[in-house]
Amino acid sequence: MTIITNVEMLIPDTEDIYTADIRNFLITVASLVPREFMDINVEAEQSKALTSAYLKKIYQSYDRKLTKPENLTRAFIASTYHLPNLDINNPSKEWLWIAKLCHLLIYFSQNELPNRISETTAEARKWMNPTSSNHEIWQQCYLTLQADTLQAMYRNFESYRDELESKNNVELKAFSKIYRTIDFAFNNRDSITRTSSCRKQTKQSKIDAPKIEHITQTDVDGDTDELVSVIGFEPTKNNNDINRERLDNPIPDFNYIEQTTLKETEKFSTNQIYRRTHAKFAHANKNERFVSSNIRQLPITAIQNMVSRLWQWFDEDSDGESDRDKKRAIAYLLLSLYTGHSVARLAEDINSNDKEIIDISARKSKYEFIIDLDITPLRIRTAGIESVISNRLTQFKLPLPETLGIFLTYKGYPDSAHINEVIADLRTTLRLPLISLGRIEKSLYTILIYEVSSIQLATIITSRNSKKRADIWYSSHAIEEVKEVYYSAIKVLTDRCYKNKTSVADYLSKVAPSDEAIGSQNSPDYPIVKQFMRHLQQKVVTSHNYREKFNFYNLWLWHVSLLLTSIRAVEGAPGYLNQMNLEAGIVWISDKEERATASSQRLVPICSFLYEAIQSFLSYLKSFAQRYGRLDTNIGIEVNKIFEYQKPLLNFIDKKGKFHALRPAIIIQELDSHFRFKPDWPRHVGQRFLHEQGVDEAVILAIFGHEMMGQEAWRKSSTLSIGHIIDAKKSYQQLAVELELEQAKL
Amino acid sequence: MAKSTKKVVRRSVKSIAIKNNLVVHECAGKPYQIFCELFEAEVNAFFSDRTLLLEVVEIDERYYFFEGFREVGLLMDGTEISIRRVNPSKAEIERRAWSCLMNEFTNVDPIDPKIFEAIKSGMPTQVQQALFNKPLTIQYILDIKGLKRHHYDYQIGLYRNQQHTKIPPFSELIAEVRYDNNN
Repeated sequence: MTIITNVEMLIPDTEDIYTADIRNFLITVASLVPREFMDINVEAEQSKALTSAYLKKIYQSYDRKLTKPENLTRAFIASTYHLPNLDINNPSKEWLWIAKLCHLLIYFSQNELPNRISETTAEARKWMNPTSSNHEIWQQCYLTLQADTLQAMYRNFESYRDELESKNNVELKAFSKIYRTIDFAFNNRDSITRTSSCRKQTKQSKIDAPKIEHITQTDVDGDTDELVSVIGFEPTKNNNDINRERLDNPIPDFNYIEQTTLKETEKFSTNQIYRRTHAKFAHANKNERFVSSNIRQLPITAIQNMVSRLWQWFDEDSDGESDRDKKRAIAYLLLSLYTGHSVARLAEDINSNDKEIIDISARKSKYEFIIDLDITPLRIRTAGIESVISNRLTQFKLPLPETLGIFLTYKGYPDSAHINEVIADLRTTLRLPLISLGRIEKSLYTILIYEVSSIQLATIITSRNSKKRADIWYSSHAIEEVKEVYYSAIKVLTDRCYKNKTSVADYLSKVAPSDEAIGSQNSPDYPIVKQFMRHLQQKVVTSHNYREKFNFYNLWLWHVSLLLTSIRAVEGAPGYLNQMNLEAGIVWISDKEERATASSQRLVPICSFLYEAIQSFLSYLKSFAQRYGRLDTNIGIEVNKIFEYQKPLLNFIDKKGKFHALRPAIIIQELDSHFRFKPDWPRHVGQRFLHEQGVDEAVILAIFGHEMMGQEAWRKSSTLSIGHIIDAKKSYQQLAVELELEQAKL
Repeated sequence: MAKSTKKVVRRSVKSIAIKNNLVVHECAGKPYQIFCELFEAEVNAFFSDRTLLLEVVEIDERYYFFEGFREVGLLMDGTEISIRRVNPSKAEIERRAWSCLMNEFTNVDPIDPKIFEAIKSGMPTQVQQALFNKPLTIQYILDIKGLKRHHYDYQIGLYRNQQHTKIPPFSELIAEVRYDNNN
């Protein structure tokens, strides 16, 4: 009778009139699978199959209540209406799979694993639907992975999971859900419980009481090699001192403030903002000056010598327990050179098994470096969205040298005394007084930016500067390309190694990544952009009502100009008519709210497609005012304002006939149900395209307004000329061609 | 027909330079809008040498026109035109405005079903009664042009094929793209 009780737990009594039918059907289906599967015996007293039409009717009765706890299993069973009718004597593979899932559900209910029940039922219900993007995984499960016993099935699932993982396949995330179902049952796992740690401390700490905090510098972007001494404390009045966060201008002896202890009044006081901005300038300038004489970066030959020597020591120091700690220090320095992350951060990640940077598994003999770029989560929930975004991955893995990986499976933190000792040895043997931990940690980044690739890819791989750089948010790179860049950098890094090249660099040549891309999740892929722009253009051409036509024409031109200039989606974009020099093909814009000075304009090019589009729009505006100005005098007045630079070029007429400068809120209101990407999606498309076209990175940064503080193109010392900007016209014109944009001919 | 008013109607002809002072009369707004939206005025643009003479209603130094849509649609601000100030009843203005539109419509070759439908649904019944003594039918137009019904049916067929498009909802757009990719 326990089976009946379990089924009643899965499908509790409610007002649902189909309860008996559903319970009975679940038992009927479950009885298709014998006891051998997982030692659960289900016998149906009376087998009765329900027709798919009837199941559909039941399913629809749960509409909008599918995820209520009492309906989870009900909805799962009812959603089998997608399958052909059940033939009890000769069940199809898919029905047998469903039956096995029922067994698993009974197991979960016996072992009180409610989260397993909700995940299994919800995913199975969705995947069963042939239009679901995960339907292929579903088919894979019942066609090839299911087996007669749970053990065999677990093996199948595990090997398939490993296969997906090794290929960095995007389906891995979805597949893991169903894998968990099998895994929990086979390995008798307990439910995952978390201890809540989000509770805020109610007791206020005395922030002005002197105290010494020991902190490990884990941030690679920080400039301090080591915190040396604490000289003094300054008490504050009433815990409120607007100058407390003094940053590094001038560089203090020591200053460390937990950001969370800062009060709003302190953080956002004008005085503090001024100081902070100054400090940022000073910092960015010192740190990121892109000149080869920057002493903050080691010369390439010095790095190569260092790597060669470290590998040599790593291989020598192979015996003796006492040497283990020194060898660990060498291993961590090498790991830092191979990943560009700081030693402290790497040690933290490996020893607490965070798997944010390094994934080391002795069991699977896999030693991998994780390149993670989870910057902009995909918030769109429309079905099938994954197939139309350009970057489906947020992270992927690259192997590390095997000997290094094997050594690191013996956990333990590297001792800073040993690290300093190794660095001191390096200094003397190589006669390089400039070597310091900070410079070693920065070496991979240095190689990437000087020898191999762009600063964007350098930041993606090493995550250095990732918080300071806005362009990362718009990035898009095929993982094949990232791998090649990384491989080239490692080749440069190990150029002077005496060791056999396969073990230190060429192991990467065997890696064959999938053709997925990594980067911004808000970037639509070209085909959907093409299709959307075509519909929008058609809408402009075929609309009759004069207001509708005007509005759609403005919306179309808004998108065209954003796509072809990559400016931000802000009110009044792309600006007033007097900001555009159509003949020269250039427009100056100021689309950023927060910038150091008021004159933070920049120039972007106007390509020939956009030029033509604006020209025809202007003649449309004239004839529009001429005709409809007699119908509504306001129209004539407002259009005149556009030509007199009192109103931005693009506007929207509301239902009362009032003109509004086009702004993101209007775009969302008018087009959200047709195109859900955030209003600045054209910028994401634009940056991807310019990078693909091989436009110089400095020009892309200047066009996007993404230069680092103090390095902007409009600064006096900048060597970037207007000609560089105008030259990007060609690439934008190419984008118009690729997207098959058509003029709105009226 | 015209309501007698106490006010002296100045029938004198006057020259004005137009700015924002020439506006469509409220009773003629609908036919004027249909004209602007659906007629290809620029294509058949003509510029006559003679100065345009419009009959207008003057209220507070504004001139309200109700006829001559084609000519007005081509006027630039600053052009000199001649006006004759009149003061017909609202019903008369409405009738003349629609009649002007009907005239333009009968000149369009071939018959445009889109315009016909706009007129048919926009014209008030009393105006239809006043102009045709019965509700407007396509037969009336066909009779004027000496055409047979099948001519119009052919145009309707073409028109159905070029119904204006809608932007599909996002989920359909995604489906379109996925379908394209699979081909």
